[in-house]
Parts: sequence; C-alpha cells; structure tokens
Amino acid sequence: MRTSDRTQGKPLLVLRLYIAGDASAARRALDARKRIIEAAAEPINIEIIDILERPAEAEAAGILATPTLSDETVTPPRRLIGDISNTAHVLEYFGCSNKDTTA
Amino acid sequence: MTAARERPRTASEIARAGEDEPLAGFSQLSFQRLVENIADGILVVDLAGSVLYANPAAAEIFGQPTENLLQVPLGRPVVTGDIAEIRVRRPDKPPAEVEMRVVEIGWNGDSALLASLRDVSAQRAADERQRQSQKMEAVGRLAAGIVHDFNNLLAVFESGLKLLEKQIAADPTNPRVGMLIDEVRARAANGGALTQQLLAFSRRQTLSPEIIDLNARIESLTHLFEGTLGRDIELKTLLAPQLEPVEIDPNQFDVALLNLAVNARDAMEGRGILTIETSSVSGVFGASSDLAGFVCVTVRDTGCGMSRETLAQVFEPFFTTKPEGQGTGLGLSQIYGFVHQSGGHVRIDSEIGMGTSVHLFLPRART
Ligand SMILES: Nc1ncnc2c1ncn2[C@@H]1O[C@H](COP(=O)(O)OP(=O)(O)OP(=O)(O)O)[C@@H](O)[C@H]1O
Ligand SMILES: [Mg+2]
Repeated sequence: MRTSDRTQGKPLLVLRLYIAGDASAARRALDARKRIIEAAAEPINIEIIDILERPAEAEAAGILATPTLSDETVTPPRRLIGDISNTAHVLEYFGCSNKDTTA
Repeated sequence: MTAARERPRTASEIARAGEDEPLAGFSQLSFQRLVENIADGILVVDLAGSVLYANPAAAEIFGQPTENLLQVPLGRPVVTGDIAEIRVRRPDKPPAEVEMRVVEIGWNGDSALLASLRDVSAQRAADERQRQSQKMEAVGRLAAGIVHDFNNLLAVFESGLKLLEKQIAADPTNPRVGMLIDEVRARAANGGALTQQLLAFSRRQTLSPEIIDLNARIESLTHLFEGTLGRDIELKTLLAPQLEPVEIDPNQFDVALLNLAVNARDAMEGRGILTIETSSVSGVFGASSDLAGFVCVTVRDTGCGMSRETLAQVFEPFFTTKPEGQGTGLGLSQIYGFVHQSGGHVRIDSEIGMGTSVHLFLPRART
C-alpha cells in the first residue's frame, strides 16, 4: 500500500484521465472517475485532460488512445486503457485501497 | 479432460491454459501468417502495459509502424463486459473509433493480454449520416405540416378581417366589432403556436396541454368559419351542455378542428351542411368500456364520402386524393398525431355518397 507518507486531506495519488471530447466512452469514463474518487480510501486527485483541447499534452505523454487513466509520477507511467468502470480493479491497479475493504 | 483431447485444441483453449505449444495441424509459420493477415488489429500487452507484439492491422489502426508501438507505454487494456470503445489518436489522420476485446493469454511463459481491435469508424460515420438524414426528414415533414396548417389559418384570418370590415362599414359601434377582433387575434395566437412547434422540435416538447372547455373553444372558433366555408354551406353546432373539461393542447385542437372543417368544405364542393357536435361518450356510444372517460367531438359533413381504400390511408402523411396544389395530405395526419399524443382516438365513419363523420375521442381531464 502507498499510504506511508500521505498526510490527511492532501491527495498524494495524482492520476490523469485522458479523454477525447464528449463521446459516449468519454462520458462513461468521467462517471467512472467520480466513482473512483468516492470509493478510494485515501484522497486521490484525477485530473481530466481532453486531448482535443490539449493535444500537446497527449503528445508529450505518448497517449495512443482514449480513455486512458495514467499515473505519471512513476517511470514508465502506469496506465489503464479502455473501460475503467470497474472501480475496485482500478484502485487495486494503482495501489490504492478501497473504502469498503479498509473500514 | 479426454474429450477435449480428441480434437485439436483451439487457440483460445491453449491461451486459457496459458501454454505456449504449437496448434495441432498448424505450422508455426502458417499460424504467424494468419495473425499477420487478419483484418482485426492484434496487440499482445504485458501486465504492466507495454506492447510486446502488434500485427500489421494494429499498426494500421494506430497509423504508426510496429516498432513505434513497441516503445510507448500503451497501458494495460481493460474491458468490462464484452467490448470497450476506445478512440485512437494517430499522427496526420483523424482519430479512429475502435472496439476492443481483451483476453488473457500466456506469452513466452508469462501472463499477458491479447487485445483485438476493430476499426468501426466507417460504420459509425455511416450510422451518424443516417441519423442526421432521418432527422432532416422529420424536420421536413413537420415543416410541411406547419405550412399546411398555416395556410388554413390564413384563410380563416382573411375571412375574419372581411367580416370585420363589413361590420365596421355597417355599424362600428356594434359589440361584434370587438368580438371579431378577439377572434382574429386568437387565430394569430394559433399561428404563433405553430411556429413554436418547429422551434421546440429539438426539445421534443410538441404539446402543451391545458384544461379546457371544448364547447367554448368550438364556439369561438366557428365565429370565423362562416366566411371560410362559403355561402351555401350551413354550419350547425350541437354542443352538449355540461360537457366535462379535457386536458389537451388548445392550439393543436383549434388547428385540428380547422383542418376537419376544410376537409368537409372540400368534400361538399360548396354546398351542404357541416355539423360540429360534442358529447360525453357514455351517452352516445353506449358505455363501451374502452371509450368510457372520453369526450367526443364529431365533425360531420354531407359531402362525397370516402371509399374503403381511401379510408384505409387517410392518416398517412402526404396521402391525398386532391389535385396537386389543392391538397398536401397533411390535414388528417396532424389530427392523428395530435389526438394520439393527447391519449385519445380518432374514428371516421364514411361511405361514398353518404357523407363523413370524424370523431375525436379526447380524454377527460383528471380531477
Ligand atoms: N370529410 C371528408 N370527406 C371525404 N373525403 C375526405 C374527407 N376528409 C378527408 N378526406 C380524404 O382524405 C384525404 C386526406 O385528407 P387530408 O386532410 O389528410 O389531406 P388533404 O385534405 O387531401 O390535403 P390537405 O389537408 O393537406 O390540404 C383527402 O385527400 C380526401 O380524399
Ligand atoms: Mg385536408
């Protein structure tokens, strides 16, 4: 678990969600983002990057497709691509614990 | 399992077993050719999200040579359910809409993910074009219907102004002057409501029901019919006293009644009797259970009537038996649309040479 150096109320897990416009997949990803934030046992910050508006950032990060959820604080970046609606799976992948399992 | 061993195992069976053994009956080479020539893009990705293998179709979807794909951190592909929709960005080309499927496989002794990718951009674009053209067609029909109803309204408008002119010439102090002005103004409101329909189309709110007294509505509307119908058509109204109120869109009702009156006028070729009648359904049609709770408006004429074949088609938009320039075939389709959206029914009784009765059954307002 990555809880060691996190202080209360200050998000230390910072992810980026790359989406493209408001296609249905993008909307589902945004819904999933909310649920992930709610379900996380620790504060978590997921920045939204619409690659249609900010193509340079997608380019720089080497994003090949959307939706991609990315942890860029590690090298190489740790990423999920596709359907991120399985909240538990997503949290586990990024090494974050789930509220329900840590109560 | 012995049963499974009797036939060559499929690729997915081998994949599930996480083994790396040649398929029975296939050489390594022919298997490779298969994967290289398949139309779907195939990626093998390790659990950390790096691409281990990409076939030519995958390179095509990403618009990049295979080597490039092997260097960037794509990410671990995830699918919940059957497929995930992803959008692939690619250099110098518009993005591709891609359906992705993922299965776990063994790859050189490790667990990996096999993602198959299908470019559905062309299909999506065709669907979108189709949706767009269907919408345009619907807008076109609606606009034609509104133009139709507008023309009928204009005729009433004109006859109202004529009556007003006569009245003013005869006796400008007669209270009929004020009444006629009110009537003409009400028709202008009907026209305004029609244009609102077109504007509201995208929001799909075509009806604004109100609780109304049908008798009063009919009386006010028929004041202006006189001039529209012509001298030799007699107008009778038989309005049931204490008629229950209904909850319908009043503007649509006015337009419907006008469309029926115009049809009756055309059927009578200038001579006959037009009757507008209201009733509570139980009184006239017997307490037939499916129509209890309705109020009925009947528009009856002594015109030419209709054949069975005509009768079977009258509600279809653009169905008309009138010569070009005289009928668009949108009157009864407006009536059908309005009555059904209001939760009511339409019934037509007609026979050739025997005249026509159109019954609008409108639901009573809930009290
Ligand atoms: N009262 C009626 N008597 C006889 N036939 C009728 C009557 N009402 C409608 N019809 C028949 O139904 C057809 C369709 O009527 P509808 O009102 O939809 O269109 P229309 O009157 O032909 O054209 P529009 O109303 O656009 O000017 C008419 O062409 C006519 O053949
Ligand atoms: Mg008509």
